[in-house]
Amino acid sequence: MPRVEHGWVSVFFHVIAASALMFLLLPIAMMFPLSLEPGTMLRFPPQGVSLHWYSDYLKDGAWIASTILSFQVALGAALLATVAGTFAAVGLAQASPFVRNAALLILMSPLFLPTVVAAVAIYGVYAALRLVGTPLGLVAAHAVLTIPFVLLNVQSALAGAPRALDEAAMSLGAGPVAAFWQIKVPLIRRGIAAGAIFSFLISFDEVVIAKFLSGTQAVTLPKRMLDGIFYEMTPMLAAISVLLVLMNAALALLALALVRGARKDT
Amino acid sequence: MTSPNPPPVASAVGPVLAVRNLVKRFGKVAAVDDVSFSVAGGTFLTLLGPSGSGKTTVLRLLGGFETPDAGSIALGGADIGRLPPYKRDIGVVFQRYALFPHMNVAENVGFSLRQRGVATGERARRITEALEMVGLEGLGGRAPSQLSGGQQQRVALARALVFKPRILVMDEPLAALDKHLRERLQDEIRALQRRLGITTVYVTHDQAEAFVMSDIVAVMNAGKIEQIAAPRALYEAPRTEFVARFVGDSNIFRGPVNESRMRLADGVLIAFAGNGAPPTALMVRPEKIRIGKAGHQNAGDNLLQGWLIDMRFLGDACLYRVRAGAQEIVVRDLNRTDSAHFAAGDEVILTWPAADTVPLS
Amino acid sequence: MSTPRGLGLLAPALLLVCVLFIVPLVRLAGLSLGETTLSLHAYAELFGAWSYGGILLRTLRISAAVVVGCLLLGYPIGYVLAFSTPRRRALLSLLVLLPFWTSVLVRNFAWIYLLRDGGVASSFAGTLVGSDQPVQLLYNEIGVMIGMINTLLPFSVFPVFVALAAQERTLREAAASLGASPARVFWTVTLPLSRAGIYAGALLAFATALGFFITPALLGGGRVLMAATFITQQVEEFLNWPLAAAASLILLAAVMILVALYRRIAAFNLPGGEHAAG
Repeated sequence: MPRVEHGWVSVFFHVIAASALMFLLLPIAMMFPLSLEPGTMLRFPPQGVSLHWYSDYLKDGAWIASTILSFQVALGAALLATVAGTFAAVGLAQASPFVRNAALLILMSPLFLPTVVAAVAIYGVYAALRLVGTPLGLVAAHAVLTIPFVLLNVQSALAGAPRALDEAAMSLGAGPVAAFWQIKVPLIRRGIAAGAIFSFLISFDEVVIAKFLSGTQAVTLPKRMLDGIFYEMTPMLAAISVLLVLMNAALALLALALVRGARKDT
Repeated sequence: MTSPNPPPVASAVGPVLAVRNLVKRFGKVAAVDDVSFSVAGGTFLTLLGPSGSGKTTVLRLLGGFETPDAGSIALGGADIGRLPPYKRDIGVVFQRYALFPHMNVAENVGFSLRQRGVATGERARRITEALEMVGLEGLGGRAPSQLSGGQQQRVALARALVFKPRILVMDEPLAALDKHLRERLQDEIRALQRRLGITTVYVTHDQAEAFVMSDIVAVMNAGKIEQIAAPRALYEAPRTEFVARFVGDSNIFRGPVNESRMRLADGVLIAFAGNGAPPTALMVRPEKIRIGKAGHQNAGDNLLQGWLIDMRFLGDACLYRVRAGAQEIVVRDLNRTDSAHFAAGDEVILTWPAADTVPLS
Repeated sequence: MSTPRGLGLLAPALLLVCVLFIVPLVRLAGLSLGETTLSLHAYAELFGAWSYGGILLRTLRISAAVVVGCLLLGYPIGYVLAFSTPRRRALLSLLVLLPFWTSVLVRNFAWIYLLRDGGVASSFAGTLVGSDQPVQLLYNEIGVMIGMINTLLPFSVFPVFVALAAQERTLREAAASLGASPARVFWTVTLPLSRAGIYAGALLAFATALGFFITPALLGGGRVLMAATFITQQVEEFLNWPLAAAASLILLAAVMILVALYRRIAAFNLPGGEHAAG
């Protein structure tokens, strides 16, 4: 039972909150019935129950190619962002306040600034370097975009690995490299993993930068979906949406469990 | 500065650790300001001081976690002041133990041996030995979080000693424990230190702890060592007002000095046993003063008349606050069967020998 | 150690972000001042184009409306989260975070279906306003606002939740003991003390809304031109880089000011950080 501390205000807020949650979840929930439509038109309720849009998606070469590309780009971006972001988070903890603030301002800026501006800016440079339409170009751009998420997760994990532990390791004869791998990394591995997952998720779903940098050669899954929504709304999009919702929910839950576990450890 | 009293143990070995003119600044503040001391082999030296006095910074400089701005640290004759921590061969016990939470007790203790490439069998033997030494046999498989505070403290000690470091340094290792456990561990650490004969530098802000454990105590204030001496010498003959006040309770007198007497503001003369430069202040410990009924004759070079402001009964003793002229004087009178009892307002006389009046500079 | 501490470890990330983000932005700033000669021509042109097309006003109007919608719906959710048992709070947070971690395309796709002419939503809206004709909800500002509120709602929930959860229960008890009715306790104590959370949530949602691109494009159907859509058009259709660059910089400056304000108010992060929304 909710604790009714504010009388009717509390009751009123519970009603609004329930409606707002419906509003949040309704569009996602809609994908499930829409994807089961046997016909070619989106219909609710569906005319029957069929999984053929799922199998059509899995048999469609272009869609599968985009899906594989998205996995490759997201894995690459996550790897790059996780390595660079983890080192950076450890470096931030050692840096003087001036260096720390300056570095944080730079490294966190992709999080706060409008993605469309970043996309246009990077597009300008990539066009000159002939990187538009290359998977590598997407990997690098997405890595930059997701470094803040790795930083945030690793930084909060570092709270469970105080400097005194490094000092203890060093006093016992471990050099900086040994202390990093034997003490630091094991203690923050959950934060690193959570950062990597969030980084993967963001890259996998990213569409604004992909729209500019995909060109005709490197069309990611979100870019292909964007085109699909513009030009032909079929139940296949609903089927793909269901698969995306399930994958994202599973990965996000895993990452949140890692974050929670890391908190319990300390 | 070397100690005026030679340490009781192993002084023949000569200084194992020699710190010369050590300086460490953080920004404009000199946390450690020209500190020098040396520690003879097997000696237990404590850096005692209030928080912010620089004692922990000295320890961190010894451990290699900070780089000195000036000065040298010699260990066994070789300068280690600029060596990284992992090449110093110094065992460190940290304030909150700093046990590795992802390793069990045995892995924690064996960490230094693994870094040094000690073979598995030999390592296991030495881990067992170290755990026995601190009374934790059989607990090697436990996680640090499954241990009590006192047990964690013992693991930290075993971990710092297992690789046979040349010296042991400890930073307020007992601060997180309750009073009873703290006193027991003081005895244990002291006994272990004597048995191993390991040169130890210990940091605490607790005067009683410093006295119980140490051969030599260095009192630190504002980045400097005020005085370095054996506990008794420090207590009986503090050189500065800071030491007098920080170590034990004290009554401080001020006034112009003429030969071996000081004239207080109200004209009363205080005798002291002085030889050397005229002191800036005089100090007498509360328990050195005898309190008696007015008119009753008491022997003593110093005799003050006054009246009792109040009395606090401590059980083993009574603490009297006495107003004598312009002075307020604290007297500690042991609770003996024949001790006289006084009440607030009583007229009393205070007496003590000149030898118990300590000149301060 | 001759270099500042930690700089070696920071180098790879700093290099990446500088080369791929900061340098392109600086280059964009240069472009906005003319491709060949230094001039403020692009800014003058931008001023004309934005006021002519009403882009500036529309962007501000939609973003402001979205913020109001987010707060009206987000405050109650934050409130319920703050006054829930830990178990229920965990479950409800997941329900708020699930859409947060769902692709913006999936949600826009759903809204296009839900809001289409003759759909349930448009007929229902018709009944609400007392007309027997369905109300058009898609390909206009209303559709864009609905989609944006749906995306940005979590941004206003968590700051409000943090501000409410941080409040001492004794303050409410003190107010009640002094004679305030339960509802009055809310209006005089709880709500005013959660102001920081409201401001923070509003700023965060507003700053993000200003740069929205995908939602206006899909739910506006090309008829609702906002700042980000304008920038994209200039680059892709008209190849007018100086104009696109000038618009980008104005947008950037606006967002930076809002973020700076936000950081003064709030010192917290959403679980897992904020999802870059589009």
